[in-house]
Amino acid sequence: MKNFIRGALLGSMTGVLLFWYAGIGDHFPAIVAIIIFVGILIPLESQERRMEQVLRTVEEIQRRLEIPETAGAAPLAAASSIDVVDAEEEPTFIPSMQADASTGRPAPQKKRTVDRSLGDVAKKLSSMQGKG
Amino acid sequence: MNEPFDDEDDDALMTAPKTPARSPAARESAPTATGGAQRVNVGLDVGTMNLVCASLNQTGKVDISTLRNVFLTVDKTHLGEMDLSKISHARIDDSIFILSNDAYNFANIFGYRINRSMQKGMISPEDINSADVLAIMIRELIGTEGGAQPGRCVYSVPGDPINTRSNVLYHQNIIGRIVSEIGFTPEPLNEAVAIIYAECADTDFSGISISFGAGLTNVAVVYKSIPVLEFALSRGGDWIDDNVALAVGTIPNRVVAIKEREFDINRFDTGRKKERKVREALGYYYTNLIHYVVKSTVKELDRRDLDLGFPDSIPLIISGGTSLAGGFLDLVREQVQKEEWPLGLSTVRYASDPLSCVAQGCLIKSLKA
Repeated sequence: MKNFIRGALLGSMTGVLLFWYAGIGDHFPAIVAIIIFVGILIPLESQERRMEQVLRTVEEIQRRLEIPETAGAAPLAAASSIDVVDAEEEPTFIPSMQADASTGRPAPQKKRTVDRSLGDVAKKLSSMQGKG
Repeated sequence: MNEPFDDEDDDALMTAPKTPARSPAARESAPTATGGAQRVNVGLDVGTMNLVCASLNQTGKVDISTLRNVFLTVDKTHLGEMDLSKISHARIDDSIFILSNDAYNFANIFGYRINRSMQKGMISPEDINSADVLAIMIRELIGTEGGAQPGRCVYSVPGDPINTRSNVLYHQNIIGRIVSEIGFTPEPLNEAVAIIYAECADTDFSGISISFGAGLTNVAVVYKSIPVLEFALSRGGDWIDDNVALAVGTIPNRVVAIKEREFDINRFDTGRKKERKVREALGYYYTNLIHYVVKSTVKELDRRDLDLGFPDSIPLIISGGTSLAGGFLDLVREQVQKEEWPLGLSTVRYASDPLSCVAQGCLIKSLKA
């Protein structure tokens, strides 16, 4: 409603100015209608954009509050706490993960082909080390 | 001296991949050297920053697939009804893990710090889900499709670091378990030894290799294909990034971004003031890393009191993503000359393909026999 009134006022004022100063009185109704229409649409669109922006900001703030707890600490802190695997410790096997089958597209991989044949190298290594 | 970063060499070595599809599809009917037409053998480099898979294609050439070993954790409730079908992700409980490069994009948009499933060359103890997320990414990288049967998978492991209390036992077992769950027969191989297998066939697999990775620097001495000495130093690219970030008051991500833009150790006169400061700091920390690694290697060789009086001089092979900075090899050579080595070095050179030679070495080992 607020936008409509604002648009109507803007349109009317512009129309009146055109009528008096530009001498286009014959087309006055059509011009006013166009101006009112544009006057309503532009504020509506910008209002929508502002709302989206506000929503995104709110969501972002929420995420910033939540994510650091799970997204990892600073690398230096990590470096200082890396010595957690003890030689004496029995290795703890994490059970197989139950990932959702409906994962997204495969992670993009960089691919290339190296123009090299490794068969002979592997044979040479085999002959030097024996089979196994 | 072999300089692998010349454009000509690159062109000669690499051609465009023939199959744009996922790597498993590309490996569907690749023959193996083990005689079984349907068995697929792969070499897997499990790196702190990248997962690299090497496999033979139908023409007998080596296909290399690389996946960024990073992810981003987001809570399911925050994403609402957002369509994730076009984003690489996995769901575990109430959390969603955005994977690999998509994670990078999201992290940059929202200003989050990226998660790493590995730190210091091993599975990260920081996040309980690290191993699970790593399992998903490894499956995407080496998993077979169609009629292909998984064969052997030789995967890289670091050496035990000599300057921290950590060891590779847990990491090695977890990766082995992940690989065997995919269907492959797993076999671990020290990553520095893998470099010798990939690079030193002409010297009967004798050489010293130093792999400058993101999390660790790995060193191995191999003679006639037998590993004589393997160890790791818990300094690498991440150590440089963290320290530079601290020194100049920025975040490691920004340091990485600058580092990956045509960085030369000896030049810090490009970019804006802040960037020049970062480049200068990078130069100092790179120099320090090289100095530390070369000195520690010689010290360790002396300390182990091994009989390293090999009849022939052996090559020193430099590899790993951290070694790709401009001026790196010259600095290594300079530093190597300053030290008194307990064995003869015939040359100091780059691996022919520093980003994939570990995976290639693993593949060679998997094809053996």
